[in-house]
Amino acid sequence: MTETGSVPLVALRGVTKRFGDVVANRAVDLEIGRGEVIALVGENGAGKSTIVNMLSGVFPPDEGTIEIDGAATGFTGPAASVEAGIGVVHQHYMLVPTLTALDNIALQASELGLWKIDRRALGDRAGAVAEALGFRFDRDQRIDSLDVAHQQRIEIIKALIHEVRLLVLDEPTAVLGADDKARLFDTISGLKRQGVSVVLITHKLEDIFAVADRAVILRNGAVAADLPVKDLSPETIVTHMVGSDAEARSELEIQPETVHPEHPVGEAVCRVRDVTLRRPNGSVAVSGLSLDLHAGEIVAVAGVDGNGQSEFVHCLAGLQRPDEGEIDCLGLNSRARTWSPARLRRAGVSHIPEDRRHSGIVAEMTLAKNYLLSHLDRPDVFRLGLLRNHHLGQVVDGLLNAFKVRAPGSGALMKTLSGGNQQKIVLARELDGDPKLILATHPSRGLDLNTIAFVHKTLEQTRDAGKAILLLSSDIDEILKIADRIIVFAGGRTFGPAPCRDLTRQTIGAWIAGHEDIEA
Amino acid sequence: MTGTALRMPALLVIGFLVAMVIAAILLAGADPASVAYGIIERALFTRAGLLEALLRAIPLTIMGLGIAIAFKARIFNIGMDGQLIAGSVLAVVAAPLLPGNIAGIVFFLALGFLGGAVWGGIAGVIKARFGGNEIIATIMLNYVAVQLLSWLVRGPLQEKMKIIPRSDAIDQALRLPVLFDGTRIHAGLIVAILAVAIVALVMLRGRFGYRLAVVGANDHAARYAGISPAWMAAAVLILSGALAGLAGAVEVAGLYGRLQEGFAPGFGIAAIAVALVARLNPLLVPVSAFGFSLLYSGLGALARNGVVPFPLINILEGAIILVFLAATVALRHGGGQTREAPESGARADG
Repeated sequence: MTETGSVPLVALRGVTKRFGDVVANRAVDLEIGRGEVIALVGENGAGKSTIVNMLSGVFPPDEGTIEIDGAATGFTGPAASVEAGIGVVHQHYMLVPTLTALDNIALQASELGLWKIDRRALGDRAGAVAEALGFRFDRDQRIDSLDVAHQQRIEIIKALIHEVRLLVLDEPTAVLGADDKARLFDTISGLKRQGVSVVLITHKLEDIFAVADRAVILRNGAVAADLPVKDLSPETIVTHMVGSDAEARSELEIQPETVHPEHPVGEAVCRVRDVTLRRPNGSVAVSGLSLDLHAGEIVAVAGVDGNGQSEFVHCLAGLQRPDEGEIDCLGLNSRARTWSPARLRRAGVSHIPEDRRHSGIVAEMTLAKNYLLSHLDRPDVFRLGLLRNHHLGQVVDGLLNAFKVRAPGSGALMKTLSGGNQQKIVLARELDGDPKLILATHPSRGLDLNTIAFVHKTLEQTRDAGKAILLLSSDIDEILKIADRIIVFAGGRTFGPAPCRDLTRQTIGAWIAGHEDIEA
Repeated sequence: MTGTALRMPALLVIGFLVAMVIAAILLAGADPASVAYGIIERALFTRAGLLEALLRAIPLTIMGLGIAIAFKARIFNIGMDGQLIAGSVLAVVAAPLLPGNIAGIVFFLALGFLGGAVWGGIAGVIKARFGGNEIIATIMLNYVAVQLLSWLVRGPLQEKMKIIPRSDAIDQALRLPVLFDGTRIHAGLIVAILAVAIVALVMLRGRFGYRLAVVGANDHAARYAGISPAWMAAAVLILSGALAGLAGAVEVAGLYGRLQEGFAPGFGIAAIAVALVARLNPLLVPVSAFGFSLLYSGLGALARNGVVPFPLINILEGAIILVFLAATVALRHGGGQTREAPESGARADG
């Protein structure tokens, strides 16, 4: 904690940031003292990244000020932030894989002149930084020959090559194994001894207790708690992250019976056996997962983004194969050549993709043509191999009505619709026909409340009609509302699957934070 | 916003090119007005010029369709010249085995189609299987095909007299019949019209056409929907190569009756311009092809009359094509503001 009377190194005072209608940060007050390690904690969308981006000069706050050494500062851009002594190691490393470690550092060190990179001087500086941190630094090693932990070290050296007084580490432990994690914590402690302040962004409880002096917990863009770590327990942190006990309990008590009614569960449509999935960089995303998905149930996959959920859904959609283990889904096997998106779709798997703008729609095409994306095999829209445009238009207009999409008609271009309406169309498209298994990835993300209620109702009806639904969500409320079972992904581990009615928000919150069950 | 952003540079390009061309003609000691009149007169006001243009439009239409298919899927097939050669070679090599009747003609054209498909398919496999860039692969295969043809007409396929580097003439019964007496307009015109109809149906109403449009517009969405962009790339290269091969067989059977070097000079590149000006719409491809053919016919007359030095003809051709393309951009995005207005309106209430 900052000593009373002294001026904090960096302070956010009443900082608010909005993106359109969404308030990312709401009147955030945050002080960072010299040589202090702060853990910035919160669920997805709690506003952590927005704070990082404002500190690194990517965009300015809408309201409030950022003070450095007590003086209000308006960063004109990322360079100004570096100038002020703030270094950031982003969650996704900004390294060029085909360049050497030293050349990657040279990319960052812009003051090295226009003409020629003085590799020797830069190498010596980088070597000195590495030595102070206790890293072994091979300047000529190519980035793509390094594992994630070593890439991270290059990023840290890259950030510290400047005069850095505050180092921001965005989710540094997400991709690290236990040993590398311990080494990173040593590094952070070393920086602290040198008087460098560190902001550690994390959602893992163990990180907080391992290294932080103070925890700042964000919820819905506002600071929910700002307390010394020694005064905190895992339970209190989880409580602050997911909302107060009272709130949670009252929500659950509204309709305790209808929230988790018994559903007759059908046969398994998809069996996942000991599946291990790796990311392109070799780190383990999912390890040894076994799970059955039955007709007539909603199984929620929860966790903070980037803990293997996306890889798991991609795998079920046929976009990748398990590195180990196997999946049997609707008569297809993941080891067979037939494990492809096309075959799985034909077998009855439908997929509401995570990033709809990117992979769910074709912006330049009409709504009718966008519907065709998942229904090219539908017999009645083609006659003699030719598209029946008029008939297709009628089918899609019907869906637009049923899903209350605000659009001029099926002939409108997808890009003329708002994001929420685009999403409804994807949902309508993927639920139409007769899917057996629905992979619903963040189906309500970015929607307004009415639409969310509509989505939930639709998913429940679909479940009751005997479909299997895999719901990928980071919203505990959503999961508790509609899911029957839950499985939590956290740092390569999985918790559950367990029936939702047997679990409390506390337990789920603890699992998401990578913590075993917490005694209430 | 994109409308004005693209329109200004396009107009600048047009102005710049027109100025350059006029300056070049003046430097060559000719009168720009009479040069322009010469081109227009020959192309539009003489029977010979119009017929020559129609004749040239046949292969350009067929090849322009192939480019339209490929570019729609964002696959840049620059190798139509090579595919055209491969198709004509296969057809001519197999010609002695074919029956001398209508069926023989159909087989001859089908072999051209097949030969082009194989040549395009090589680039397709390189792209789909190994992720190689199709632009490089197709350009390189052009050189292979050109040299192959050069060797064939001097070696194994050379005429019996062994004088001129060309093959023996194919059986007269395999030649495409002339449609109108007193002209050289041959039945290739029917082939071109059929090709337009079929390609238009496939591209605008067929599953395949839909798939290639999705791959071209958003290949991520294609993957998620179970359309393999790699497989589509291969299929598209095969198909557009096949159309180039068909055009080659039509040229051989309709005009020359034999293989010789350089019998379709620069058609592959011209077809790209044809397809781009037609905005990749198969129904507009014949219109665009005929427009370009008129230009070639006019420029050809200019070259024969010796009004301007020969290299200037090439400069004129290139400049006029660029002006056409820049003009299409300027015209298409000219309406940009009005087109984007309803979009922002829909966003606001969404």
